Amino acid sequence: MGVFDDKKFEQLDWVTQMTETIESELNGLLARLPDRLEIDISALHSFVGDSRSLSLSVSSVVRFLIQPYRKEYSLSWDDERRVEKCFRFEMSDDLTLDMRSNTMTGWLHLVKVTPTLDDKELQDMMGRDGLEAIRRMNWNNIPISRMHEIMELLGGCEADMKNRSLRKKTNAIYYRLKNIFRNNEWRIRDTGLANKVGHWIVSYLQDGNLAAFTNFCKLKVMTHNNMPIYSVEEEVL
Amino acid sequence: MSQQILNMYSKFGVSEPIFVGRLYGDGHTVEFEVRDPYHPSVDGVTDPVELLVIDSYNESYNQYTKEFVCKENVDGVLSKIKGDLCKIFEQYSSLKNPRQSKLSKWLRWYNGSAATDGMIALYRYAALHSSGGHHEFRFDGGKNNPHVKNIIAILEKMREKHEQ
Repeated sequence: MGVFDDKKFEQLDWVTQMTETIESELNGLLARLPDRLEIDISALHSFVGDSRSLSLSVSSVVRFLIQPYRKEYSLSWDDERRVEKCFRFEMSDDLTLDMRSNTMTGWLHLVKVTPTLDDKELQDMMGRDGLEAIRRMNWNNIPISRMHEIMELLGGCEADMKNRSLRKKTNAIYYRLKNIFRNNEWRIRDTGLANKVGHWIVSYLQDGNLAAFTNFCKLKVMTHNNMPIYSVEEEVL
Repeated sequence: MSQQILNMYSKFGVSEPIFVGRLYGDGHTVEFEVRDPYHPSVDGVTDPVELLVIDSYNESYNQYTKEFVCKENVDGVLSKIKGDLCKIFEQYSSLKNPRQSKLSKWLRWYNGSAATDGMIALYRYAALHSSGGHHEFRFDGGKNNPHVKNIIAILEKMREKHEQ
């Protein structure tokens, strides 16, 4: 096995390999959530508040369903919102709650209306977490040489390399990486991997982490294979 | 705190804790609304203070007891009473700038309890002799109306007695 092998790609079925479908752990999580969930009165008691007009939102129920998986999946706020959008309520016309006798007439279900997030939606989310890390990064005192190394690997930043401002260089890195994802220039087809790119960049720029830089370099080399990229043989940070 | 007003609240009922569900936001939210919301009736009620109390009726649902509870708003009712008495004074006073007067300021800032029963009685008196509807005070003859003069005189006495 070479250091530039894409193990994940090799394990994919041929249809996914041909169509370059985006792999995302969100779809894995969605698959584990129920297609239809009946909400009975005891569940309602735990979800609703104590105002005169009680209300129940999809987001509160979905957050409850996701809770057992939080350690397994590192979900951003944005990820959770996307998952919530895949669900809707359905109810019978005669849905009535009698709190005194603790009974419910009719039925209320949470239904998964979108079983998987499609590529268009996933492409839009690509790399967001990592980009956010770059945006939040403290660019003061970052050695210019490291900045230039990253900018050279990203490509398309020649004009900003001449600029002396670290802030502007950071912005150039951010926007260049954002464009790479938006235009699918590097054909990264795994959202988890895409998110790591920004974090590798930050880790190298701020801390000089060579393992992170190595990973980034490997990724860049793999872009020359003219193949979709699902994984990188990562060094441990 | 006025015991008179508090006693009025004790006559009221509350809504039954039975809710119907409605979908909103394209299925993103279910709102449960009271099926038969309770509100005290004004039929046969002639006491203007009780009408104020009915206007301010509110209840809240207690998640733990699973019952509705009437939310007394004695301070709100008293505030309305003082506000209306103040408006009567400012509208019918012969002073050039009644809002700057001691009485107006006292009425606006008074938050004690000693004068509340007196204010409630005066409010009833004003409503009885007003030609306006509920919560509207109009006195024929304006400043020369004897009832207006009585109201203002009594308010001044109350201020002298209770002003600190």
